[in-house]
Amino acid sequence: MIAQKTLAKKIGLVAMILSALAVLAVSLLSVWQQYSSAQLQAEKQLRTLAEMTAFNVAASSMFFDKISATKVLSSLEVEPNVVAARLILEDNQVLANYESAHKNRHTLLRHISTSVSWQEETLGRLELDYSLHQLNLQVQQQIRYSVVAAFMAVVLVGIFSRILIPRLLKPLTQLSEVAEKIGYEGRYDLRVEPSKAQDEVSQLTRRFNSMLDRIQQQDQYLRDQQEELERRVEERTAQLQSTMVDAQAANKAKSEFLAVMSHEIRTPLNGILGMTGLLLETDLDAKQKRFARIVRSSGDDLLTIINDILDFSKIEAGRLELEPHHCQLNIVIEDLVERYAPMAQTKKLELLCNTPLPPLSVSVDSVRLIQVLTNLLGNAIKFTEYGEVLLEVKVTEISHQSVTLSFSVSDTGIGISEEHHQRLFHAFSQADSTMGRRFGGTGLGLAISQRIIQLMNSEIKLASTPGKGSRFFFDLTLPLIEDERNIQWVEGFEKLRVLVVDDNLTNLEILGHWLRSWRIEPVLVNSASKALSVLQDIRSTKESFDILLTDWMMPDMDGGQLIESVRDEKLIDPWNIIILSSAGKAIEENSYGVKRLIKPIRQSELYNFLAAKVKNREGDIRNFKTHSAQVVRHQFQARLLLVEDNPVNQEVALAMLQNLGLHPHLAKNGQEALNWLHSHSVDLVLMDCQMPIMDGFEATRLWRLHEHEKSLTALPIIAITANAVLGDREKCLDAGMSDYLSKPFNLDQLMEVMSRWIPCKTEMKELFDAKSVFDRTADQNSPLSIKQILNMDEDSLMQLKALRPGLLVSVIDLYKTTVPEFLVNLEQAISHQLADNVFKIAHTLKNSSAHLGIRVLAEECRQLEVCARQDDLTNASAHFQKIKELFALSLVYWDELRKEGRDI
Amino acid sequence: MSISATETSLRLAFVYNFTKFIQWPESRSAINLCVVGDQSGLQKELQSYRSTLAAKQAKTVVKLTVLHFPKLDSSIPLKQCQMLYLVSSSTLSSLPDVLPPGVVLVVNEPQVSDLRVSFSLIKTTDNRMGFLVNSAALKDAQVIVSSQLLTVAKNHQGDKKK
Repeated sequence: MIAQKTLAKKIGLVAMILSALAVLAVSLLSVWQQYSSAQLQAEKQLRTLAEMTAFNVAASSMFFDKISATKVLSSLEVEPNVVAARLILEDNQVLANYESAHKNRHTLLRHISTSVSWQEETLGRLELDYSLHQLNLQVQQQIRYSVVAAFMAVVLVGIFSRILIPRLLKPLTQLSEVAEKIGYEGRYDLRVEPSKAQDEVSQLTRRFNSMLDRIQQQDQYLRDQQEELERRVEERTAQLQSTMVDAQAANKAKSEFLAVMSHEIRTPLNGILGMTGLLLETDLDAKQKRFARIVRSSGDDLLTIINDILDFSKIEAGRLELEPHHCQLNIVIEDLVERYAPMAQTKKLELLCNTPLPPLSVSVDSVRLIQVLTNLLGNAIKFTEYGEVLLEVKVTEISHQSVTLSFSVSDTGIGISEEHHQRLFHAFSQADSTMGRRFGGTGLGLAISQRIIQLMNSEIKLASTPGKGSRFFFDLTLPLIEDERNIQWVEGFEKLRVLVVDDNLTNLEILGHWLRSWRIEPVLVNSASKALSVLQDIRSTKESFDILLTDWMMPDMDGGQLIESVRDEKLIDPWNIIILSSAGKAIEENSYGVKRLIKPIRQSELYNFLAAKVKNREGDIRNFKTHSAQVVRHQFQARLLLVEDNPVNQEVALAMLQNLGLHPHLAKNGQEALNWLHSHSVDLVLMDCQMPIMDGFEATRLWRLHEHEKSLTALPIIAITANAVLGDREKCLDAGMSDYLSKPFNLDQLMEVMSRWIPCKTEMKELFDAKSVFDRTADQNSPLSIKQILNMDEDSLMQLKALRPGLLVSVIDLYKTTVPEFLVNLEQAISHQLADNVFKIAHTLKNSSAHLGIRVLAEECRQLEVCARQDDLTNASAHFQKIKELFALSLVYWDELRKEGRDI
Repeated sequence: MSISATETSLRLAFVYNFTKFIQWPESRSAINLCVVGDQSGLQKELQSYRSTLAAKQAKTVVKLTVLHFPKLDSSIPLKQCQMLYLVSSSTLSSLPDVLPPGVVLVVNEPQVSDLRVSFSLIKTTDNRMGFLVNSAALKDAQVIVSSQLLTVAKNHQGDKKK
């Protein structure tokens, strides 16, 4: 409370308190001194009075004259302090007595006793009782006066404080006001008027003004400096802007040059690769085929280099964006490793793959992830002369929403010294300058891979010992996707007795880990002779193994010799032997008539084999087919328009399309294409982008406009461009194109894109058959009656439509193009009695159909799913027929709906 | 000395006390008290009085000497008697009309006023011992009497007023 008072009030208050205390103390001291003095004086007077009285009563005492004595004592009444007196003779007889009339008023009595004598003869004594009551009353009065004086002093000091202290403090107040203005307004030009006095406040004022002088100077200096800096910044900014404009222009020129060069290189490269591919499929002698393969291989290398440069250009421009999507990680990894199996086989390297168990589905840009792993795997194989290369994916942390995976590629190659580790990830740099000459490569691959992984919030690290090998590794935390296709049923697996034989300890470890994850306790041995010994031992116990997994290439005794020994001694049923072999050994191994799994082994294939064994369906095992890398070439049936101005590209594309059973109409530019489309019915357009007269972008834009005006169904238009540079894909999609194919492309890439948009011949045939079924059953083909048959849920369609314009159409188109492939796979699974596969496909088909509101079809799929889950495929064929018919009806429903112009 | 003492001794005490308040013209270191009378027991009282007096006067400057004369006759050296105490007032007539200066006469219960008597020992109405002072006789005797003594005298002015 005191702290909030002004300084003037505080000083005033202190002065008042001190004054009051001083006045009170002095007054009380004075009163006490006066009281003491008065008391002494009074006592002295009383003693004198007593002595005088004693003298006066001497004669009375001598002559025992009581009356006279009493008379003398009565004279004491003149002294008010005397309360009583007694004259006592020598024999203690009281001769006379006196008492004051106000005796009762006095309380604290004091006594004086004096001798009564005459000429040295003691006659008795006079006792006097007295009181200082009057004196005390006077003292009390004095104290009251002192208090009043102190109070008056306080009042006076208070009044004078209010008048004088503010005057004394006025300079300080002015100082404070000026300081406040300076603080708030930054006015360093203000000064405080110094007083004429030479006191401390005056000194403070002068020093404050001096301080302001200094601050003003510094402020001015800083302002000058700031202005100078701003001027310099403006100058530099102008220079930088000028430089930036130049740089942007240079960058643009570089990009354009890159685009042009890319286009110019890719166009002839397309011709080289396309024609070489076609050439290789013709009848050539061995020498010609070797030359053609070299041309193809060189072309592929050149394409890889161009792609690397383009990727690096994208990364440098910060335009490389990830496109995460749902993918089955195990399958993606196993596909990748499988592609490198032949290369490893060529170098006699053991290529191993260890994927997570149970299998995972995650959201990731799998294209970029594969690009990184491809680079690491390619390098590992390239720089390893003997030994093994292992691609391993391990789960390090998992939750409901995400999973942290540790990816690593290890090899037993030449290794990299410590000082070359960092340089390795720099662009156009290899660990050793001699490597480029020895192994080739641009040195961009690792730099690109590192940047991609950095975009995924991680970093590729390296652990390597020269001469012993290298290990590139990185961790990724990815969203986890729930995918029923990853579910593995392992009931009954624990009953299987499995013997695994492999001289490669890493592979042995991987297989052991997988088998144990499926609750199997395998026996692992690293040589054929040990396996033979184990088999012989167990036969003596009248037991046997259910499955023998054996490597083919082993020292001392290989897989073939082991199989022969096993067969001769009848140690295990040959149908229960699985050879783990490399692709190149297939023919040799097949001569033994046993099943084989191509190394690196796919986890899913081994699982399927074991699952079939558990179900104890011998036929299944005998008919068990492993995944084959052979590509089935589909034959399409569609009305196609190819728009291409370059004669070489025309030739390549036409040849490839003919291989796929397609005979497209050719247009040389966008204008010709538009003219054709206006007068002909077309199922798909392959559109080049850069063309004279009218380019592909413009043609597509105009056609989409036309479709919109006429409310036509969107025609699939696939862009073909050699400009695989920044923003090219976005540019195509913005122009309204449906898909994108970068030149140079091979037959497989073309087929993959085509299959996304048009059904193949076999599927179409089935569909037409299904439609004929409908024709037989439905009356008048009216959408209403089909709708009733399908029990369409139009609310589901409306919900999809409300989410985003065009989404419903996209989903329907996707449904129409993907379901035929599902149906083909479903039919195969039913014919092979693969209940698990039937279950998975039926489940997927059920969900897709339910999303589009085809209730009856979804219900049919659900019934098939239930049967497959119960391993009962007795009625599976009947369900399949019904599903096919209902799908055909749904196609008719969509087409009729569009024909009627209903808004979907 | 109490008032309950025998009257004779009390009267002797009064006489003795008178000496304390009287200042004779010539400074004296000894005073003679001449007691005249032959009453029975007086001799014995005087004897007792002398012994008491001797004890008292051990500390005093002025010595009192008590002389006893059975009867007033010419043998009494009046000039030697600073204090003359007549136990019986009847003997007054035997005294010369004018006493030598310096002789203070004390008489018990005088019948008539006699200008030669300085102090008259009397009994008060309440049967207490008192005395009267004759200032003229004291003047004639040329002695000075303390005012203290006067205030105690029964004929003191203040007392009379009262």
